Amino acid sequence: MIRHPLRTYAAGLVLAVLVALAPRPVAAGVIIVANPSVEADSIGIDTLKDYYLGNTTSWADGSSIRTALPAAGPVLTEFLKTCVKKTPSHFGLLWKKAVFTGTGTPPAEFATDADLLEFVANTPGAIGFVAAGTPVRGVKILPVK
Amino acid sequence: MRHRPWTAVCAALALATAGAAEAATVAVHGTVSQGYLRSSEYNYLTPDTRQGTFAFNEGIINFSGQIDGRTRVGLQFLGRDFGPVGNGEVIVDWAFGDYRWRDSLGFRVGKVKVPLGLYNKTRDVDAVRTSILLPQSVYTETFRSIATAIQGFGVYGNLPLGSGSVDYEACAGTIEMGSSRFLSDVLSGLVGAAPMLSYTVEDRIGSSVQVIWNTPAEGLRVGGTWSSLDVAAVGTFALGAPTPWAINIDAKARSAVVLSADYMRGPAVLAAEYTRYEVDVDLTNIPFPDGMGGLIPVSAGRTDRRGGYYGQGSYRVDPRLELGAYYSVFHPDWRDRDGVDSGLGHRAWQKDLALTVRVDLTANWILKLEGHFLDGTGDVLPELNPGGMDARTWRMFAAKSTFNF
Repeated sequence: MIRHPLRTYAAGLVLAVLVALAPRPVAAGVIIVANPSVEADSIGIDTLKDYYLGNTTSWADGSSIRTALPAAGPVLTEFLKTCVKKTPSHFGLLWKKAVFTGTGTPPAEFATDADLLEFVANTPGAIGFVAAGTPVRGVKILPVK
Repeated sequence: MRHRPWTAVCAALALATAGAAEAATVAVHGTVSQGYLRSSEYNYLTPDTRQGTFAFNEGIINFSGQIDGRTRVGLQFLGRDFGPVGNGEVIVDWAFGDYRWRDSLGFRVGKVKVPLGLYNKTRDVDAVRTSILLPQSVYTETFRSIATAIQGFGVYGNLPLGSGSVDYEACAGTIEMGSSRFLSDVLSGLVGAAPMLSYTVEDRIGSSVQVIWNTPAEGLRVGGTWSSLDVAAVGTFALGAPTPWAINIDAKARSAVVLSADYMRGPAVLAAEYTRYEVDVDLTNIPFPDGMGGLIPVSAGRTDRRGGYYGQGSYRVDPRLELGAYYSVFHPDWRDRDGVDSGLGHRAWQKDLALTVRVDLTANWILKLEGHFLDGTGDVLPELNPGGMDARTWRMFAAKSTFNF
């Protein structure tokens, strides 16, 4: 049986739309989650970098941004490398500098995805990231623009 | 040490306000370090470096609280011992309120750290760098106590540009000197061999402006700092007069300029800085024989045009091991860098090749070992080396272990 070319194109178009609408991992295997109070529906990669480096500390409505991240592991390394352009050790040093000069509060660290997601779900203004495919509930997924 | 009343008030207010914030938003961090220094030839930085000294440690604890999305308060206590400096006396290192109106404009009021080059604000925090000693060409210990913090106000912000962004910071206020023995040593050296019986440092005005361009090239920053620091002191010397003679000294580090660049890519960090500054020293009420057996007061002054530069690199081999090196060059008189015109010889420069191994034993515990291979004695104080300074080349070993949380 020969498929009509139009059906093939339509199937391709539908697939492309689905891919475009699906939450896009910021890096391979990482998705961004936020507290439902966050008004944004998507986020830019440079904006994420500013949030995690402390260059931007409040959302557009003036409320505090509360960043969260895993304490260690491949998801952290991948996110920092792809989005923040830092190694975990250099990222840690930057925040130690901020802590000991009184100029910033480092992201909250969590040992497990469940703890991180609970923090994001219960903390207004919170944003974090977990491995793609992690079951999430009570948080909002922010596609990366 | 003299305590300024409003330093204590500011610290108390910061603590009280942080305490008033929700307990979950008050953060406590600290660091404790112990070091060791030993030099092959000279008492450099401390009076006991040649025989080896453990008088090289710091302790820091800070409290900070985020009041709301724009406002934070905090304070940090610092106790340090570096040869004769500090002796473990605890001081308020910084204590300020910070209102971030926009990311492009924020304000700080209280005792704030002075932006000067890439590392001045964190020079007390061993854990945030690779080397034990910062390159002395730019971060000289001689003027550390006047260049660390001022009581006053500051403005700061981040301005997005079409390509990259600009971080800026400026501050102005009163310098609190604390109990700097180094300054008295420097003043003694300026007056001569007469012993100093006492000295009092008067607080003076300081200001600093820093602009850093975060270039579109990922990880590359370039910038500059301009600072002006002005301190005055009164030293009382035994000069053979019937009563001790008080000499007034006004020292100004004028128009200090630091040009900075660093580049961070993956596990590697490169940095280079260049500085020039003038130190004006005016002495008044110097006793001078009047030819009739008495003394008359006269005045004198001198200007030192200092300068230096360094280049450094570090590489994180793995999460626990980092290697670093820098080459630092300092000239106490930039106009006579080879020491020929002044006859200073090797006192006209100090070139320092430093090699560092940093081991992160745990996430909170660091051990560093560092070797210095030096040529010249331009930053060595004669007052700490009464036996003379003949050797041109010498070495120094430093070790330090730091715990931080």
